[in-house]
Amino acid sequence: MRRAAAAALAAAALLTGCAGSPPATSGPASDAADDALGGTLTVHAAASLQAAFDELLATFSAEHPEVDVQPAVYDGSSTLVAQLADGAPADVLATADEATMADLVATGLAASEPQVLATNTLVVAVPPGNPDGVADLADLAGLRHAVCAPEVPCGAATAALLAAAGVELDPVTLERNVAAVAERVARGDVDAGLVYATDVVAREELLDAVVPALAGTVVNRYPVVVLDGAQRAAEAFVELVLSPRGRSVLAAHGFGPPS
Amino acid sequence: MTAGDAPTGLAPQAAGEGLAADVRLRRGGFTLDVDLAVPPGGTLALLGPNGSGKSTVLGVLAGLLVPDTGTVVWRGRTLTRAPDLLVPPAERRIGLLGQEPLLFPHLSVLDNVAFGPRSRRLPDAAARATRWLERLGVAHLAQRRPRGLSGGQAARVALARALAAEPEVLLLDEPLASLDAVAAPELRHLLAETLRDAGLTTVLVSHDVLDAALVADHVAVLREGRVVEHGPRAEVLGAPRTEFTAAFVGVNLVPVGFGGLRPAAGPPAAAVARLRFRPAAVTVSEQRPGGDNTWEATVRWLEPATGGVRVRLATPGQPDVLADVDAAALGHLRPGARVWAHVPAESVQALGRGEQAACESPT
Amino acid sequence: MTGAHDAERARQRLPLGVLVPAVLGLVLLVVPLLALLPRVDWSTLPATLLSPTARDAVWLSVRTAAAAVVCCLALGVPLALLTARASPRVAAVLRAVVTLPLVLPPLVGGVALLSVVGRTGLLGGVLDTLGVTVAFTPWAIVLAQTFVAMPFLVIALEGSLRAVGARYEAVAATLGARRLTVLRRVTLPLVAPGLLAGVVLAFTRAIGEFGATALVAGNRPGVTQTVPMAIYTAYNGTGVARDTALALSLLLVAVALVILLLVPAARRREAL
Repeated sequence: MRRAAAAALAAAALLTGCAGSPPATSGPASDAADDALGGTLTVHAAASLQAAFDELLATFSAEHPEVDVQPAVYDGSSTLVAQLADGAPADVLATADEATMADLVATGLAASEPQVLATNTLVVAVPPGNPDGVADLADLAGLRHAVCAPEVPCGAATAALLAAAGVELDPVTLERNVAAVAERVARGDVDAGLVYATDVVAREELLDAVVPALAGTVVNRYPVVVLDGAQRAAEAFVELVLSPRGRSVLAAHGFGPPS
Repeated sequence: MTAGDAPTGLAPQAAGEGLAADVRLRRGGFTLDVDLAVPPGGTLALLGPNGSGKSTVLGVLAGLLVPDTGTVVWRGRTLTRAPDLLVPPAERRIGLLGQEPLLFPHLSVLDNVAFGPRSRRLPDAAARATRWLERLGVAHLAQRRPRGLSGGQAARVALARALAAEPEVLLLDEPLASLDAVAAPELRHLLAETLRDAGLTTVLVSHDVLDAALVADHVAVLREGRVVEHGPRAEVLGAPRTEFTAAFVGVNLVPVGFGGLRPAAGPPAAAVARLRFRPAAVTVSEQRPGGDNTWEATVRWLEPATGGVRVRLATPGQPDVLADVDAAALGHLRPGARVWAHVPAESVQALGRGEQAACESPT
Repeated sequence: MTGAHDAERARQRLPLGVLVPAVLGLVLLVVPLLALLPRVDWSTLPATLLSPTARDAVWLSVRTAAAAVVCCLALGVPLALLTARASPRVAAVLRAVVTLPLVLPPLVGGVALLSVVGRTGLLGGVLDTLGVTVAFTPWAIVLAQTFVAMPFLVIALEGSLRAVGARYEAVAATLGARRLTVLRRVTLPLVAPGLLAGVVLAFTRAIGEFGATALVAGNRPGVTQTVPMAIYTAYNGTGVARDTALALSLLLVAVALVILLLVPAARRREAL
């Protein structure tokens, strides 16, 4: 299985285009450093974690040059879990809600107990300057808006928030992941969309955020876990993510603290 | 007269009432330059070898091809004037029948024949179609699909289809070329009759002189895009003026001095350019016969001819000569055999330079 | 019995070097589809297929694909005629342009279409003024499906037109038929087989289209959720939702099979 994984990684690297990761070290070089972790590191994470994780992975890679850090895979959490169940190779998984993580744990691929690395709340994304004057969720009813499909964590959170606020909406499209919703608003296809606070931070020039009154009542917890068969590098990365350093990076990208 | 300036053979007024084409067309390395006319109700046979431009002429007359310069006129109405005027084929009332019947495979025979009347929105298209099928003896095929027809049957249906559209002019492009030895004469006869009865103005293209002989009243010979002979049938076929036409017609035309031949009568020796005699007048034997007008030749090959065999005799440096021989008299004639040929002086005509023969034998 | 005999003769004629790869090709195409079957939960299949989600998706997919085929015919037949009768150089250019949507990843096609009919697209302002919305409506699905399916129709038909040639059209013209009559009564009937093949290809391509429709039409159950979109959405869930995805996939394959097998058979019967 490891050989197949290596081949798949090589293919994935070719397809996604290696973005500055160091070449695979599988020889004398890897034995050189002291306390060396070695091996490769493949992280699969929810789309909303992209900006923060890219930064953390870069930091990790700089501090552990002997580890071959593969480009991370970002997608809707349920898609990630489905791919892992089908045999996609990865070392670390971070999802956008605990329910999806529970699905993964149920498949038996988790090597240990998941831990929450950050939290996220929903906001309404609008074009810069909030041209339609959106103040809260109810204002979306008269606008063309997009939300996440109920099958993904963002969608589940959206449904909970709307229920808490007693608002019923008729979105013009249900997207497969939250990044797609943010893109719709940024591109002008729709007037507004419900996304995570982090998605607006990630697209500062393109989007503004309007925080709904009850946003704090629906909190998405982001668990992270090391997967079965991963090497020590994976554990080290998760350590970094959960450390105060990691937390400050996450906060800078708009995430809330884990508790 | 040189090949390039063959006359139309018709007075301009007569041409104005019928079909006239004076066109030039260049395509690739081939140049077409013709000036033809057909009187109304007349039939012109356009003869010539493959590649001489016959089909191109028909294409221009039908409006399917646009010449580089020139005009096509029918009954005083200009149909084509290069480069700005082209009446579309559908509005010309000029029918075209080609070597292949090209019956529409997805329609029945009846619907094929009715296609023309229906396209012209004539009433009772089916009835008209049936009448034409009857006239051509193929009414029993009305419900069949073209796929199941023999060559001869398909040719008749194609003719019926072209005529049912009631054209004013009919163009026929080697219509008998794809028929076998039995179907061809039948259709040739039928064609001659039908064209006569319908009173159409017709241009018939062929490489078989028999078509011209039986169907046409005027003949034009096309060679390398130019008309080399043009006139009433009797004249052109009976008294060909060029070696080319002679070979076509199956008459021997040789330069003076060939084989020491002398004609019985004619213009003064100095004015004679060529000699003409019929294949039937030539006798072939293995021994040298006595007398004049005899020469030695080699048998090139033998071809079937009506009632006997046509022998092609080769003489080095000279044109081939055709001799018609009884099958019984074949003897040891085989390709490559050396033989003696003889033609009596009375059968030899003398032709002056570019002039008509002094004595024209009846056709 | 004659059929089996004919098949026997045909098999004897092909050399082994041709037969073996042919069978391998067949295996490659068929086995993955067959491999789906054991994964299906046959007990819940009827309920899944009859659920509102499935019914809505199927009805939407079928009618948008049908509309797309109509658009493909209306635009594609003239385009095929233009290409078939053009000079070789012009025809080569036209053919290349028509083939482009086949080369583009559907997502790129979707972005391209949005750049035209999206709110911020080329025609966005115009459409807004006219009060017309295309994006996020079933019309967007039809647009995307037409975009990806038309090349199939045009290429199949153009090939047929070139093969038939212009001789029958010339004959028809000399019989007095104007151009439109020739088209209607001669040209199109003669290329009917090629036209039918093109239509079938276009329909099956349209009904299976996903990437471009996802972008330009979005995903709104009951309104713009086609069968492929429903499959993808279901696949994103786990457990029961996965079964729905499989069931709908089977349905799509079955629909395609029906069309691909029945339509040519019907035509063959009529030709006899």
